[in-house]
Amino acid sequence: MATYPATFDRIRPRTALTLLAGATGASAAALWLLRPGPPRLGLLVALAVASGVGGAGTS
Amino acid sequence: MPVGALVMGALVYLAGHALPPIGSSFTGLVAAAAALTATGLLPVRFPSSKWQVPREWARLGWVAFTASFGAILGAGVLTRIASPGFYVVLAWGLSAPDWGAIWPAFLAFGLARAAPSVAIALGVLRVRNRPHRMFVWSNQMARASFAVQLMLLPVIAATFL
Repeated sequence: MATYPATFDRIRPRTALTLLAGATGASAAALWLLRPGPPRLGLLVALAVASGVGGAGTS
Repeated sequence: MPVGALVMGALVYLAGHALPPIGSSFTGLVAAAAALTATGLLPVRFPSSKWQVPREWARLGWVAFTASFGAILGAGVLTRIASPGFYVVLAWGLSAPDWGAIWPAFLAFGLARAAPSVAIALGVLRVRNRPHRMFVWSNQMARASFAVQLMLLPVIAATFL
């Protein structure tokens, strides 16, 4: 079910699930590598940048 | 847009301090929910405004219109929220312990919100006869950023939970 129609329709569900699965594995590896102090603010800034660019074309 | 984003960050920070302490795991919960929602695995819809900046405001003059347009889009919540990751930024603003940990995320959001407009405006000068390219570029940027968000959201969820 597409809960973000405008954005989600741009990417195939299988691609989205593959990315999600890959990222979940990567996050587990990152957590193991970055213990005990993961760079939380860096991750949030990266997400904020992607979120900002994601608004392209909307007003 | 960066100014609007910083103002929103300050308002969220103040709201977070007016509430009982939430804890940073709230950010992880929102990230997990956003990841599941964005992929359609969690059939819920996060709240979002349907309002758009009225084009009639252009009568205010281009300076006032551009400034208000940028501030409103930079605030992020007054118009449609197109990015699942922005909910996580808002959650961080509510739950982070101090302002120094909040403003970089909101400033980054504001700058990144403005970047496609600047890039497209510059690009349109090169393809003056093909204005539809502007919309193609917008879609490409939004699609790429959506994929990046899908990768970052589980990482943030795992980091904060």
